[in-house]
Amino acid sequence: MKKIVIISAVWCHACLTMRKRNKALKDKYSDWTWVDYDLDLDDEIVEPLKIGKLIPVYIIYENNIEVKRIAGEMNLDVLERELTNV
Amino acid sequence: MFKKILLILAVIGTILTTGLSVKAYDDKTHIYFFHAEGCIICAAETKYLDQLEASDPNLVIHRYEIAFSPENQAMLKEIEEILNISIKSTPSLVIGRKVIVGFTKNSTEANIESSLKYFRDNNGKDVIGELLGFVKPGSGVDINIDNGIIKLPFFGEINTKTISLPLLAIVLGTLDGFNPCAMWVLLLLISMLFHLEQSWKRWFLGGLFLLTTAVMYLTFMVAWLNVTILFGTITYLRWLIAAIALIGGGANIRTYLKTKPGCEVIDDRKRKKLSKRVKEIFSQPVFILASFGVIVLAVSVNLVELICSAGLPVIFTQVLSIQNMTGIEYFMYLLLYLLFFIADDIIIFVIAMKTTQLTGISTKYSRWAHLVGGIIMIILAILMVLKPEWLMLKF
Repeated sequence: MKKIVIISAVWCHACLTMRKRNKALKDKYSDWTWVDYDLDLDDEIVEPLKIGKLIPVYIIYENNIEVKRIAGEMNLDVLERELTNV
Repeated sequence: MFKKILLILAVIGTILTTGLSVKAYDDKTHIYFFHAEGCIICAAETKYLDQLEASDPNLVIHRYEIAFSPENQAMLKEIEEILNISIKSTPSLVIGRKVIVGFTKNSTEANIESSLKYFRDNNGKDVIGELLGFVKPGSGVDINIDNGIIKLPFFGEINTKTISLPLLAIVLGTLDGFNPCAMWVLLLLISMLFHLEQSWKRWFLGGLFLLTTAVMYLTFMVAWLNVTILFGTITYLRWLIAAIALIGGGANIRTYLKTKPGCEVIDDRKRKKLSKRVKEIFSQPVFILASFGVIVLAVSVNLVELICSAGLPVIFTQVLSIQNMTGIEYFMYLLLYLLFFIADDIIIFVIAMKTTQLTGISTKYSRWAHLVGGIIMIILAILMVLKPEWLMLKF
């Protein structure tokens, strides 16, 4: 079972740019679980994840175990490749 | 025969004694310098003109003090009408029909010398000389020294071959606009605006933030422009600005090389403090207090933005200060810069208000803006020190 956690912020223009790309992948991989967190609104959940200095962050879980973490703005193809090649 | 000789001598004698003399004109080039008592820049130009006149025996410089001399002021008015120009500031130097306003060491000197050469090479018409009786009426060709230069309303003289200055304003303004320092505050503000029920309040508060940003930026640029115009002749100031440009350019290129595409997470404390302030603004029951809060927010955020811009507005005003322009022309160039600086913010705001969705600008554009901006800043820094006359942008 695959789960993707996306951490972004309303003030982050790169996160806003990624929204459309996220939506495209959410539609394509609808069998995955997708969870969105806001850096400021969900700080109690986000803080323990120690996401570092660059957002948006994508954390990939398989069977509830973190297997990969990527960060930053990227185009749709790169994002898809990063999320699928775990 | 003797009577005839006597008659001729009598006629010559009569002519000489009655003063029917033919006025003698010299072949020298006359140029006209208008200065004001107490004007520091005028003093700097006077020093240069004294040297120029001493080194060029065919040059005559006529000097007119126009701040306190009513006669010179009246004469200036007449000259303005004939040349169809307006001399509003000092120092101003007139060569033929060309008026060179202001003085910056090297760049204005180069401009004066090239204008003088062009005027002489093309046997230019000395319109003021004719009026004041220094040159023979009808001599010379009525030319415009600034060949290829057109005069546009508000923007003044534009070199049609290069259109360099407007282009520079647009390029630097756009690059400065892509600097994301204050962008995150705008996005945060817009996200809060969505919670307001009345549409006009959303438009008003967002517009107020952008307007305050624009006014603040413009105020800074006008103030800095005045400083550079006033102290423009001080070489050390030019070097200081060149140093700022060099450091800023280096910082921009470093940002391009070091940062990855994406948003850097702003310091937790700073971010939370600002978020709290924005929330407080929107929780104000009195709308006028909310408006005041937005103005204070914009001012404080943009104070930081000015440092974050890494000197782009400082460099643009420096280039602007050495152009020969009137006050309104300077102002219009600053507005042009500002328009392109704030354009991306306006686009994001309008789209957000129309679609009730926030739109981001890809970080790849801001990264490229850092690289291009950095390169331009370093080039301008080098020119400021080595070839300041090139910054007149009249190649």
